[in-house]
Amino acid sequence: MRKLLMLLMCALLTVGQLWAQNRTIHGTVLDENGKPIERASVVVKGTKIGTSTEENGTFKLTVPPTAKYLVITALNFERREVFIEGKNEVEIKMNPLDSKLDEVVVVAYGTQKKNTVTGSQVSVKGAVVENKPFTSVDKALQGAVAGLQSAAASGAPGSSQAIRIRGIGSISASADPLWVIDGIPVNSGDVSRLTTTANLLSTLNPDDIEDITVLKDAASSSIYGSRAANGVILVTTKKGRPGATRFKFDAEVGQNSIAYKNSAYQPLTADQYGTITKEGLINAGQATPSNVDAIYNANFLSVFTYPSPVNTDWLSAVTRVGGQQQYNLSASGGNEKTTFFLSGGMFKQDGTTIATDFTRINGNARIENRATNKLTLGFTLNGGVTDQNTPLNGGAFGNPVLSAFFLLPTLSPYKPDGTLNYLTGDFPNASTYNTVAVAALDKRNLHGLSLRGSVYAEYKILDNLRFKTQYGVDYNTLEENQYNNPFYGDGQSSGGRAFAYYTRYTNWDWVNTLDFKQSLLRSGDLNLNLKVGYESQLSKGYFVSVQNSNFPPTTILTVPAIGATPKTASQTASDYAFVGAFSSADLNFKDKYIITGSFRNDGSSRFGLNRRYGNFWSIGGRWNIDRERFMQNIKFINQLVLRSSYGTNGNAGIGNYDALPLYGYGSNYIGNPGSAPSQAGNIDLTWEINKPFNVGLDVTILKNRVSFTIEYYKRNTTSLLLAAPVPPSTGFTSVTKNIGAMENKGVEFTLNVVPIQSRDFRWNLNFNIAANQNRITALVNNQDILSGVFIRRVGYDFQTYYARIYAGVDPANGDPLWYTDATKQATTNNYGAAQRALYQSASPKFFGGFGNSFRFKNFSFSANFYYNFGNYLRDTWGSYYNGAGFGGGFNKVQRIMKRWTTPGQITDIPKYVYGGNKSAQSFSTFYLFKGDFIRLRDIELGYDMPKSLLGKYHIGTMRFYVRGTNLWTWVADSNMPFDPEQGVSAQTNLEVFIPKTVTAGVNISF
Amino acid sequence: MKKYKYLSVLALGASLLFASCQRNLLNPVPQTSISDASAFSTLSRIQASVLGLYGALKNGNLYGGRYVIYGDIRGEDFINQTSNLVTGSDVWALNPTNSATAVVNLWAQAYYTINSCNIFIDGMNAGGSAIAGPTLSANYIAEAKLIRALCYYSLLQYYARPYADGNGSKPGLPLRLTGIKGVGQSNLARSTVADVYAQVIKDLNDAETGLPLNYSSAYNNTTRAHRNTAIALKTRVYLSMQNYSAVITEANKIVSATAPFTATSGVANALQADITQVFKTPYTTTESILSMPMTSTAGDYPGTQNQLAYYYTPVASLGGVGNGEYSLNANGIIADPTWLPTDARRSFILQTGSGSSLKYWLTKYKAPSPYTDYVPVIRYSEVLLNLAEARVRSTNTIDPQAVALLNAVRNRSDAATTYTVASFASANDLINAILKERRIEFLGEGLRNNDLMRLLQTIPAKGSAQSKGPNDVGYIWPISANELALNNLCTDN
Repeated sequence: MRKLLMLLMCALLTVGQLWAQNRTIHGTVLDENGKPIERASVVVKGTKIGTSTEENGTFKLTVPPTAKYLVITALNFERREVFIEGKNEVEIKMNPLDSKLDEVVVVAYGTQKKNTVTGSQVSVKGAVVENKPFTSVDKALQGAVAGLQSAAASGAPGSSQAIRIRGIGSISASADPLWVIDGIPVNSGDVSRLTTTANLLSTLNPDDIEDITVLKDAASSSIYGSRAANGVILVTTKKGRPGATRFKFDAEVGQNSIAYKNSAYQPLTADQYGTITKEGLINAGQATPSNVDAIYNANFLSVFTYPSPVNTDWLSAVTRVGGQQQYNLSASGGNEKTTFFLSGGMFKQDGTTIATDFTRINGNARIENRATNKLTLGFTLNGGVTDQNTPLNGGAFGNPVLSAFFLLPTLSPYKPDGTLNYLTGDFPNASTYNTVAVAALDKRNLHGLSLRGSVYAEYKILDNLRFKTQYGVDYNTLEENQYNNPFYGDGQSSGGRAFAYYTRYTNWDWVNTLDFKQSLLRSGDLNLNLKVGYESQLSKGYFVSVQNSNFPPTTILTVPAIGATPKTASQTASDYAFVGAFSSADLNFKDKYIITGSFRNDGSSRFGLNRRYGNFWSIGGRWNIDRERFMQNIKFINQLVLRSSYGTNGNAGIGNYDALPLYGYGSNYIGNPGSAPSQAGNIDLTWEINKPFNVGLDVTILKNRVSFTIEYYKRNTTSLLLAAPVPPSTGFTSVTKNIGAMENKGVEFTLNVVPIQSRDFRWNLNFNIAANQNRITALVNNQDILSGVFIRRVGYDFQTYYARIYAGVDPANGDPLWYTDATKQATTNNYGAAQRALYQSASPKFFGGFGNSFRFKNFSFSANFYYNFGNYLRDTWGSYYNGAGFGGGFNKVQRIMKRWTTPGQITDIPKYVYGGNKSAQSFSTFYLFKGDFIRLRDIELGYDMPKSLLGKYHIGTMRFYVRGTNLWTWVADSNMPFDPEQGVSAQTNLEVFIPKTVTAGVNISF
Repeated sequence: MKKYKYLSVLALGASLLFASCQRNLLNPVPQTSISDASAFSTLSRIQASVLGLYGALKNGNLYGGRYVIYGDIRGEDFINQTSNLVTGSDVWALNPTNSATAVVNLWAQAYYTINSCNIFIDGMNAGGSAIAGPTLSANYIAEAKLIRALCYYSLLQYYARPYADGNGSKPGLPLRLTGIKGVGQSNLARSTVADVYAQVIKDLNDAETGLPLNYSSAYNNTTRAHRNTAIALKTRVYLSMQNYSAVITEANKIVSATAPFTATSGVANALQADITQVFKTPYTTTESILSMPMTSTAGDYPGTQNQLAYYYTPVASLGGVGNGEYSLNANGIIADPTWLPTDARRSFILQTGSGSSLKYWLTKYKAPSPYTDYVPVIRYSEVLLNLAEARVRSTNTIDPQAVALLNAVRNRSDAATTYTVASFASANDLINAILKERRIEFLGEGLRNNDLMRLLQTIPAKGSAQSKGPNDVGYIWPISANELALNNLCTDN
């Protein structure tokens, strides 16, 4: 024992001695402009000792006394060796690879040299999305990519986000892009079945993302075949780099409050409501000036006699300032054989409305091993659990936002004794609930779990022939729980009720690819890259639904097992599969002329027997004009590229079994299951076909200080799936067929400028804009389709409103007026006599982002804006709180105080008549608002601690920042009732308010 | 090093091999529905399909409610109270348009049921019969044919000229007899009324041959077709065709020669001593030859605004369970002095209010929400009255057995009235008494329209609704607008 101890001590001493002989080198790696290079690899030549640089380009490396040179490598830069003998501090300036010749970007199924890319694709670096106070990465993409529209329908923490790339390309099938995470096509979107919103991507920590590449055209995306029509988003997670283990820790805390409020749309006070209701009762003939007070007092006040009149601001009662915090810790590193990246994170956001919050805890691991010079093995696993509370939305009585505008200010959420008030006298059953009570007594939550992982191996069969196989799994579960207490609210009529829904999506995907590179000319001027691959995928959905009612008179026991009366016990399932063989090739002549092509033979279980497989292809061309001899004397142009592509891809975003003739159960008889034909099949049913054309020009000038890209695209989508009616004597009313057609065309422009650049000061400016025009070009028999407030008509935008045109208020008598037709020649106060007209669209004409970032010494400042112009937004529920007295028993908003009262008065709010004034509540352009807005999406002030200070504590970098998100919003329409961001269809639905967030945080690496 | 090379070559080979098998993935097997091909692959699936046919017939738009309701409200014995187009105020006023709720939905549901029957018969012929065996297969196909016949017969009553108008030479219905499971079979012209009736009779004849004599439970004897069901329906169909000798032939198969009249083979169908028992739980007396059963299980009741009790009984505050869509016409059959106050069938009438708000309501159906009254399709008393009328009309005499049959129905509810041959001055008097008895006996059971139509009688005026003679627009319904728009060969009435 003693011997052992001695031995250990000796060993320790020896180690100590070794340490003593080493020394530490501090350094910074900068690019040609003096901008720090992150993640550059720094290795002592001839050894495996190394590290990689921090975000600010710094590194710290303990080197043995024998070390003479450091080898620095970084993506897109020339390799450099630096002599270090006798030096403790070095600054290394890297030279970019010649014209970025060897810069590599992420493409479908791999990477590719940037200067051979013919398609339209945009990369968003991880730094743009990490540490943002957003619950999912899709929210962080807003304004970051020209032509990518990212719109939230709800501000609920954890809510889904709609993304449209280059317009809306489908009528009845999905218009969502395909998400591919680390090479695996995943299930994404809102999969909630019980609660109002749940986003599968919210389990992914944006902090673990290294790169997001958005594929917009045929050349970039057609290789994904039948699922590429709405664009593809490739997410690559972070991986380790050889070098000493590097830790990174981020912490951020802050708070959320409502981003946009309009004083014209604040609820009335009790006095105001009294004034207008009395006026309305008299106008409606339900009261006279002499008895109106008595009628009002008898019907519109609380049953409680409070010491002072009740005046509740329900909006304040159901909203709040919510907390925000996130913590991320990662470790990465490795040696030349094995690299790893490990991370964990915690994110918590409390929404702006009571009973809304979201928590995510996640972990991530990625390990890669070079077993031999030829064989590389790797493994990724990314898992997250979420916990979310989300209330009802829309017209539900239990929706807190609805109650904020509907409940009378004369009622109090609490009784005089301080307990919750839900007496039927104040809050009758089956009417708008006291949501303060409901939030306290009911439960609506969900728990999500996602595991995304894959194993892969890559083998270099020959120097120019590589084989890669990857098997990935994307596993998601969602547990949704709802409890409605037996005393009050939605559960009262059934004696209390509880729901438990379980949703599971298991998805596996196997990709095998063979990469082949060959120089076709002895001179090396003509090179071919060829890829062939095979992919198969199976996704299985599994759904269990349970409901029980009749609960004991307590609010403690909330699970369905407690209920005495079983209501629902059901399990269903739904699967889909894809199998595809694909190939892509690029032919490169002297890096000047590049031709690319792709092909995929894709099959899907979703399609009819006769049309199960389809072929999708693309061709693309690129001319690097700046490489031409005649350009060599034009010094101010650094890069000039002309690109174009054309091809086909498909949209398979339809129901899993839409093509099949089906027998469904549920046609029950005598208590036994009966089956009956439930769906007319169409064995010819197939994907929607999208044919995108793209042409783009990339220009970089003035020593790379100014670069811009301008692109024009036109995509024709045909074979749109529509329900084609069939004569009812066939036994069915409609059959899904490939009939419709649509066109999206537009221009995108992206600009990056570095106006000032010096050693201490750097100013970056970016701007992007996208204008899209959508037209329907074919429908079933070219007949109009009325879809709610929209009309789908050939020749018009997909989201064109079909509305009676409001003509204001008749100054003589306060009646609402509408134009009789679109010519606006005559008006009428008879709603029915006015014709509906095609009116504007819910889709923006153009949108984009712009931003500035400044760095002065250790300070950085950035501000990024998002803007959206040209669409119209509908206030779906406006008829109740701004409908000239309609729904008189509900509260109103401030704007109603501008109602017409005296003859000759000019106003746009009709005379207030209790119960409604001549259909003023019915949908017309009065309820449409110009949707133009500009929003300060992100503003950040940061400070990097000086290295001299940190060195002492062995800290690499330390950065403090304060950040604001959605801090400022400008709207064109002063009457814009709610947040101008209301989803892709721009319909308000009394959703949880979108938050503005202020946070302060620190990033430390060591 | 070599081992890796082998390993990867192996992996490559394996993956290519695996890849070729992957195409199997693309044959989807849904788990909440079954593909039509597999609907007949096991006996239990076949049985579920049979139940599905009844389920379709029982739909609230068809025999679960609305078909029966329209049959009464077209007649003169009900008054519309709510002026609601959704609950058939236009049907009542005899002016529904091509796109009226009633016209469009009844057409669609009846044809959905017909197509279900067609698909079923095709499926059985294509392989289901081999799995079910000859006996069950014959039973099931017979049930499908009976349901199909009932649907075609029912459609004829609203959408086509009565048989009596030109002996069935007028346009009938598109006669679809093969299952449609996909696109491309839209256009089909209307066959003549006679052709459709011929098909109905053919199906019922086949059903008579194929159906079982009876089932093991009273429940099934009322809710599923047996041999007597086919025969009973034939008496109704032949009566509508004015083929009285055929009515007699068919009725005699299930009506004994002398009172008490009962079916002597198959299910022992007979009148109940107390008619109110027929409309009570368990609803499965031998008088109910076929009824549509309802339970409170989800999907097993008529559904919103389709329920008989919802239409005919007043709101709860007035002692009903429904919405009071239709009250009884105070000047209709209930005003008939020969319908005595002591008649048990008067117990189905509820009187509310007084003075100007005096109203009468039919409470034959009274189960509260979700309205689980069984809906009668055909009762034994109808067979008796069908036979009685056919006997009088075919002989044009005061037929003694016809009188006995009429008495059987009248006497069981009204002991005070007994008809004899001497009660009637002429054959016509007797016919009128039988027709009146039908109005009393089947009030609220949907037969009034059929009786008016088959005799080409004028539909009398009631309340604010005007009368419609056989040549007036509105005497029959127009054809569904959806059918006309999409079936190029279909013509309107």
